[in-house]
Amino acid sequence: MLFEAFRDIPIMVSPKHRHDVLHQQFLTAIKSLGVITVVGLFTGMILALQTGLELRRFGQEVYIGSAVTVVMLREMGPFMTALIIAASVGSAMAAQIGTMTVSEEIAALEVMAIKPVRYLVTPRLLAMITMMPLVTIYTNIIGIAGGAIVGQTQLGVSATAYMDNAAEFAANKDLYVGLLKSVLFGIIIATVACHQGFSTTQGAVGVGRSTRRTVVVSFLVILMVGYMVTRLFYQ
Amino acid sequence: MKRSQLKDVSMEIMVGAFIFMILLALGFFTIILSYENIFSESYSLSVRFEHVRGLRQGDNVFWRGVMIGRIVDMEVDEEGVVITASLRKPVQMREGYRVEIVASSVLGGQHLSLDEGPLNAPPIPEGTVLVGQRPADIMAEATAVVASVREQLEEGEVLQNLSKIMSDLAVVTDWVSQGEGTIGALFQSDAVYTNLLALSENVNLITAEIRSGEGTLGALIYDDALYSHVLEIVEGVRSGEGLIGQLLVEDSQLGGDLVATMAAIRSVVEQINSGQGTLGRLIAEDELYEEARLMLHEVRAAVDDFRETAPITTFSSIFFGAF
Amino acid sequence: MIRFEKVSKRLSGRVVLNEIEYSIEPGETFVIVGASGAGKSVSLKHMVRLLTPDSGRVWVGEDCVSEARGESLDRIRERFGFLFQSAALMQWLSVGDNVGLPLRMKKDMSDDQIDDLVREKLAMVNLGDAFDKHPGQLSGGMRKRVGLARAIITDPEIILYDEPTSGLDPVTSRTIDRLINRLREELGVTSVVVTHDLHSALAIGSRIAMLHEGRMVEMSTPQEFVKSKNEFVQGFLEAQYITTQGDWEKSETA
Repeated sequence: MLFEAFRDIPIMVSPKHRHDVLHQQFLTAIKSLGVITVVGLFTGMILALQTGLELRRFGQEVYIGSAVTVVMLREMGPFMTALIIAASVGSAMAAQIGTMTVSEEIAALEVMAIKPVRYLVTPRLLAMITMMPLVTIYTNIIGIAGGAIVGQTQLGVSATAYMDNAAEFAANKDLYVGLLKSVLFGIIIATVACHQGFSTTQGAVGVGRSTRRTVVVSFLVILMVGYMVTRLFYQ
Repeated sequence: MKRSQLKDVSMEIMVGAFIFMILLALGFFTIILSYENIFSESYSLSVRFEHVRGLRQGDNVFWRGVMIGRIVDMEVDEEGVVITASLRKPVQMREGYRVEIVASSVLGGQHLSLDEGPLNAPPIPEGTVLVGQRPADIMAEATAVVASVREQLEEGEVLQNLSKIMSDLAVVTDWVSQGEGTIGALFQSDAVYTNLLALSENVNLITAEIRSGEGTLGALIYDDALYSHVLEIVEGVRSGEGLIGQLLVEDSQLGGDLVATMAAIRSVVEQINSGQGTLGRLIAEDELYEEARLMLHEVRAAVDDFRETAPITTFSSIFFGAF
Repeated sequence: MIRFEKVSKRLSGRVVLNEIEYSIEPGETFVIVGASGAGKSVSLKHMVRLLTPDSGRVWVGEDCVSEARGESLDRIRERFGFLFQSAALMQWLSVGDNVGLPLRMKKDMSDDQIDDLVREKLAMVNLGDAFDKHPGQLSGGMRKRVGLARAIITDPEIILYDEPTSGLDPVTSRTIDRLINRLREELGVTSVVVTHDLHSALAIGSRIAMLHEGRMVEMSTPQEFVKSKNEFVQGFLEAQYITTQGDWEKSETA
């Protein structure tokens, strides 16, 4: 399924598929921005506060800049984004495709000689691949800003010092490895969600089960893949 | 235009705007993280180091304590490392300059510190590759110091010795407080004091009696008849009369021996005198005992402290060694 | 046109089709009736390879659909229109987009051309004003008609109807029946209708087949069907209060 979906990606450029991709991109990115903003902000704030309070014992609060930025770029940004997208967009995908499966809509597509993978999976996969890194960048920015707010208000670290410190210790590698992770997470979410959706049986109960499985399996695979990528790049 | 097409357009605008903004942010991030400053003029400075001890691309450059740039490039060649810094301000280096790699904080991090050299020294032409000081590795030195102290403590058996001394001292003070041994008796027994007091009273009495001419010594000192009698005897002795006279006169060695014996006795008496002073104080005052006790307490606390801090020292040396 | 060759199928351990053999002629309306679980829908799904037989073959013209794959399967499927029991409309698409979906995905046509064709087909099923509505805003009968419009949008040779009147009131059911008849007359399509609504079957069918426990127990014209001596057919007719020939003739003209 994944192979077929990847193979069909070039077809998505055509105008008749553009709408589907756009719709999925809209759902993945714009519709999730609210919750992503809150989660990103608080992730950054928590990171800043926790590390800041420890660093304060050594009088080195200014290092929250690098601590928050590096952690957000490398790990928390892609990870938190993936969890939220898996829980919101992924589960919705599984529920939608699952419902379509049990209500014969997938069969209807097949009879119309429309490939369900091309029509349903490829736009979702493409939307995930394109939007996950972008949403991750957004989460990173919001998280780093959250850290700066805590630094300024609670730890007495000025935003300039915070950013200077962040820029000093964070590297482009951190950013781009994080983005690579987010792309992989996007593929995982789309694949798991669509697979669970297509394997749905037994009506509404089955749809519920597929949705739950999507979230659980995505979380686990995201964690494992996240670890492996980290290990690959930061040995 | 159809409603669905209108919706499409608004969706397209939103997604497009989002993508545009995020890509803009990505570009901004990339620039910040790659330490490039494309918006203002920058000046390049190259320094050759034998060893940079963990200095990284992107580390800050300080001049007179002010951050004026970042390290943008590092190249390792056969002779060392040539680092290139991008500075916001031009710095005119002069003969006698110093370029050093300095630790930024105890938690790690390094920066480059520039000292342009004395004001009246001849300037160094622009573009010259400067030569940097070999960096002092504070952390490595600190680690070495900690390690050697630890070695002394552990391998030199200082700790064991100290604790042995303390336990011996504890035994001694136990004895003292229980009145065992001479000093213990001095501390604890009144009889010694009383005896000494009686002795000195007796000495006083005898002296008084001598002074009043009572007894043989008194008469010897105060009675002229006796004095002349004794004088006669002495004269007799001097002239070699009698046994003593003969002894003295005939064997002058005997006299010399006697003189030496007397001197020895005197010195012993003097020592006793000074000994008496100490003993007297020992007997008379509680202060010394108190001081000894306090000292004992402090030493014991110090040893305890040392024992407690030993693991911390070990840990911190490992911790700092890790940076 | 469509031929079943000793087709057997087991689902969840139960024999649903047991060496079934029949053929459907071009231009006829072939109605399959039977009790629930008799294998009607399963039979229908074999025609478009939504299910594959455990043994036997299904032919569509000269093509063996039960063994077709990839492009050749697509080509066979393009000859079909399929009206699902639940209409199977994409819930997030408007009626217009649903009906135009096969054209948009498969044919090289401009949006305007597609829209025109969609409006034409919607008008055929009396839903000219539903273009911008969403499936959720429609009644069951309207959804079925939208499904029908989608099934005929590509002008197929064969239309398969899976329970077209189930869950509908009698008046709407008859409307659907008339639509099916009209499509056959106007477009000359071959129709295969699966239903347990005998009124409907008698009204639209050129031939009626009865499935019972995976076997074909009766296959005849409506006139012969109501006179059948087969006990299952009799039971089925009685259960729907159809006892005389007059009844169904009346219903046809209703």
